Amino acid sequence: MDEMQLMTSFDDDLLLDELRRVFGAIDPVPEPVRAAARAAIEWRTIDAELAALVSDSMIDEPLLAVRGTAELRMLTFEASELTIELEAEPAGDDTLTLVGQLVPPQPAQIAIRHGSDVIATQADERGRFVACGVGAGQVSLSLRLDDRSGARRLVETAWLSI
Amino acid sequence: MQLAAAGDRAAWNTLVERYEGLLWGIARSHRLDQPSASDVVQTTWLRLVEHIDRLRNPEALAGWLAATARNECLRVLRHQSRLIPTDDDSMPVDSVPPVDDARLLERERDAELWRAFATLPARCQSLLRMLALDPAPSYEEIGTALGMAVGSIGPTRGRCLEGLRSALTKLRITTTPPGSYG
Repeated sequence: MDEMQLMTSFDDDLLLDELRRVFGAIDPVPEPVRAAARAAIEWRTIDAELAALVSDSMIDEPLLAVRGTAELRMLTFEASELTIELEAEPAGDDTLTLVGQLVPPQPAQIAIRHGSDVIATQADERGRFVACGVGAGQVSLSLRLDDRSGARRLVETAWLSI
Repeated sequence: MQLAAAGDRAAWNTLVERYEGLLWGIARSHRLDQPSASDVVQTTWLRLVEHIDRLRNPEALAGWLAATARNECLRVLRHQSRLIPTDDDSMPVDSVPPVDDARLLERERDAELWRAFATLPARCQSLLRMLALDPAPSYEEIGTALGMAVGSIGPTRGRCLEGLRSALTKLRITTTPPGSYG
C-alpha cells in the first residue's frame, strides 16, 4: 500500500491534519503580514508627527471645479522629509478611491481613518498606495515608516473633509 | 486581552500569534490575492486596536475578529468586482494560491492533496481551510467567518471531505500510467 492509497482511506480528522500541514507549507501567513500585525498596537502609543496640508486642488484651482473636471481632488501634505500626494476620486456609491504617492518613494504601513472607521493599506517600494471604499466625510491618514536608520516613524495628516 | 489593551506588547503579540492564522485563512477563503488579503488582515488588527477597550469578553474575541475580517473581505470584493466586471460563475473555482504552487511542495503526496483540494467547489475550499486552522475555530466562529448557518457546517464538512477523497482517487487514476497496476 503506498501513500496515496493511504490518504484516500484516511478518516476525516486525519485528512484535515494533512490539509493543515499543506496549508502551512503552501500558504502560510506571510512574514510582512505578521510583522505589521505585531506593530499594529504601536499606533496607540507612538507620538505622531503632523503632516500639514500644503495644497488642495479644490481651493487652489476652483475654476476646474466650475468646469466640472474637479471630480478628482488632489491634495498634498508635507512633513519633515516626506511629501504625501493624494488623489481622491468619488467611486459613485458615496465612497472615495484614494490613490497616493509618497515622496521620496518608500514603503509604509498606512491606516486611513474615516469617521470612526479605519482601513489599512500599504505603500509599495515605489511609494504608491491605493484604498477603495473610503467613506466620504472626515478623513485622516496615518503612516508608519521605517527610516534609514531603522527607527520607526509615525506621521499623521490633519483631519480633512473630503 | 486587558494587558494588550493597556499596551503590553507581549500580550498583544500573543493575541496576534493566536489569531493571525484565522484572519489569514478567512481572507484567503474569500479568494483574495496576497495584497488584498494583507490589507484585510491589517485592517482587522487596526480595528481591534481601536476597539479593544470596549471588548469586555475575551471569549467573544475570535467571533469579533472573524466578523470584522469577513465584512472587510466582502467590502474589498465589492470594490474589486466594480473594477473588474465579473460574475460569480466566471470566477475560477480554485482558491488562491493557484495550483502551480504545488511545485513548491517538497513531497509528491502534498502536491496530490493540493491538486485534489483545488478541484473542490469554492464553498468546500473555504470551509476546509477554516476547519484545518490551528487552533481550530468553533463552528460559531466558522459560521461567522464564512456567512454559513452553524447547523450546515457539520454536514457540509462531511460532504467536502468525501469530495476530497474521491478527487484524490480520481487523480490517482488519471495520473497512474497504464499498465502500472500490473
